[in-house]
Amino acid sequence: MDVRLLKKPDILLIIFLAVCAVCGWALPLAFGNEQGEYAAVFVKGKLLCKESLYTEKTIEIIDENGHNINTVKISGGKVFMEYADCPDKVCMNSGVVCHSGETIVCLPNKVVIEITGGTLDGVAK
Amino acid sequence: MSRTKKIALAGVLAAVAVTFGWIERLLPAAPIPGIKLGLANTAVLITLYILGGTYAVSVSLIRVFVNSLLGAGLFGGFYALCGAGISVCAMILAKKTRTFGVLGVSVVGGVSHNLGQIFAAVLFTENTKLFFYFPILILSGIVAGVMVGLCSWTVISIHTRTEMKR
Repeated sequence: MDVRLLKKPDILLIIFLAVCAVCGWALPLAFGNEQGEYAAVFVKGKLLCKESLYTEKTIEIIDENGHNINTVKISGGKVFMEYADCPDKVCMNSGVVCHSGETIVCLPNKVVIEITGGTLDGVAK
Repeated sequence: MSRTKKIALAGVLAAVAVTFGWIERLLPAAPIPGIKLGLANTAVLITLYILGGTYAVSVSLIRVFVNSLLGAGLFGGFYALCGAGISVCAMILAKKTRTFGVLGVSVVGGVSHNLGQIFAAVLFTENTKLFFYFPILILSGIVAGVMVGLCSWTVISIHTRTEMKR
């Protein structure tokens, strides 16, 4: 059985993937990385509300049964997920976002917060 | 190797995969969602090399199933299944080509696992902006793949050496 650790194609594969990743990373950074203007909150793919980042606001997302599933907080031009009822809390651990194109996602509740405004939005359109 | 021995070994490896998956959830979460080491993949990769593709698929499925019972939940289970399923299929194909070494197969597994999960997330939230995470998930897949590849290769090479002595 052939159990060599490293062959030539392995190195080529890793370099190829790394180049793909770096390109994909650098392109949005070159255009974006700018302070966003709005926070758009999507629930199940539908836009729930769009708020300016320069307001102090707490948005409570309520499901069909009247439970508060997520709480989004906008403060000082930044957005973070203050509360989530899901067990993994990935969205709460995603921290604070403020650049256009950045997102906070709560997968179990199908909630996506997206920062819009700034150049990245213009490129996307 | 007899069939009985193979099944017993697959059971041991499945137990290792489950334990690794569980340990990994005890570690603090990475700042960016979706980034993790994928320790459980070492068991799957070792199975793939020692016992073959069919056993690797079973070990992977058992791991996802038991881990979702252990607390990842039904949703986490579905999500893990997308990543693990694509990952194990991609690794089997990568090994079949006989082009790649253990490290290459492992990197293919790591990257395809992350891509599978992001596809699942995009389908689930119906938000294509999630592809924003693509590059960073490819990078984390490469790093995790290299680590997992090194660990697995150590075990696989020891196993082949002892098998040859018999």
